[in-house]
Amino acid sequence: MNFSVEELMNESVPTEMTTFDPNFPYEVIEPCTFDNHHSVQIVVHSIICILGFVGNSLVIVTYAFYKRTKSMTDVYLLNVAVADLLFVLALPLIVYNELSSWSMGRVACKLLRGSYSVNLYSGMLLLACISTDRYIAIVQARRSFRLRSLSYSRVICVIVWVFAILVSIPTFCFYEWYEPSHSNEYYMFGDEDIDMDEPSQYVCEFKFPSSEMAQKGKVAVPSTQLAVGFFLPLLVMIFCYTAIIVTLLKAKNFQRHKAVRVVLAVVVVFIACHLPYNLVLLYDTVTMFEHFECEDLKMVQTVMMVMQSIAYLHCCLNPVLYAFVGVKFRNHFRRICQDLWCLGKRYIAPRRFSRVTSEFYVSTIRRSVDVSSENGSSFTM
Amino acid sequence: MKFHALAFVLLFAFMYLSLAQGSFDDCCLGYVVSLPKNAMKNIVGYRTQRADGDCNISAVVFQMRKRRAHKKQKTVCANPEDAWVKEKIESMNRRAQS
Repeated sequence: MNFSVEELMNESVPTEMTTFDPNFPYEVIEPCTFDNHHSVQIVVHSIICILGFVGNSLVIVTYAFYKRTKSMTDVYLLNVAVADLLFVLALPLIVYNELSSWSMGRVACKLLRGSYSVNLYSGMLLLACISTDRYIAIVQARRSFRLRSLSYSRVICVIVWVFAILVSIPTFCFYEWYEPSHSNEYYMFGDEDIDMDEPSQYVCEFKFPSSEMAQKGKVAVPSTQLAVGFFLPLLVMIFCYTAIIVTLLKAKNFQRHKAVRVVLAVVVVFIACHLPYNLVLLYDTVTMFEHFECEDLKMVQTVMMVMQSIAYLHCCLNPVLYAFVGVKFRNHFRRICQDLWCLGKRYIAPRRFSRVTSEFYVSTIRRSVDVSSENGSSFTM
Repeated sequence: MKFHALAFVLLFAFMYLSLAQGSFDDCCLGYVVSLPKNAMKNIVGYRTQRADGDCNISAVVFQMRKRRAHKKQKTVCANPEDAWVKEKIESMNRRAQS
């Protein structure tokens, strides 16, 4: 958006370049204007919304009607599905509001941005909880019966949600619904008639009481997101799943290869979805107050948008990676389909398929693998 | 199911097209060092950009006189700390009051 200085002058008046510094850059810096929405992004987001809604609703319905949550992993999976569902429900509203200059107002702005943040944190932390749970079940098998009780997992879920809300408080506080300064009217002098017929545009962005606070807040919020919402769960998952894979490879269980494949899929998909976005976010946060050319800034924003869509895709993949991979879950799901099919003809009472294992005397590792699959932690494909 | 999904996507796509002129970022990223005298004469207004919201630096955006050759009015980003910027704003404010 830069143009030469001569353009600003009247052609009739001769230019007086002699009065300037020879190093004077012969270009004028204009505000950098870019549209931060692309049609492709809207289409991708709608697909994510639909897939995420269908997948996570199926998980919740299955748990609600056909499967009594009886293991820690079940409780976590249900909570992940709830977080992902809330996320995909908020997403179209956010997209709609961004396109309609936040026509839904201040309360919607705070609620949508806040719930987005809460669901992001709780979803990521719950995935870390699932990996810890599986780690205890398989690697620390001797302690698993003491540590893996239902009441524990409920308490942990409550802690995760409360923590996610606490971490999101800055988002609730500092996202504001306001008219940005660039849509303010110019203070006009002279008799110029300037067409200012553009309607007032509202945005839902950060707004701080002071510039000093803005400098800190604009770095602190994404930093927290990077640390708590990505690197912490990533480290926990890498540690837990590495230990699990090592243990599984030592075990003499014919299903271990499938289990290893599932574990690898979970980790690879997590990294593939979230690492690119978080790296761009890290770059953006680190270089936030550095000088950028408009073209460069546009490129960074575009890359970030694409990576963000890939990160969002993860919430559609969670039901497949965690719930539908499990044989038991699939059986329950099949049951739902059959029941829906037969609905009206006859009602089939919800039946519990899983039997509780009481074989405690097999070898430790063998037992722990069995227990984890018995408990529906979905290692069997 | 597939048709429903497709319908949804199309709905979103149309929604996008109808509201495409939505949110724009429009922030100064840097400052002009100075302006030639003739360009200064063409300044007709200004607005301030604050760093507490969606923009990262504070700036003064000068609005230039409209010229037929340009479709859009030119705007120029200037540093509010610069003496010539302060002077220009003061003189404009004085003119407005008188």
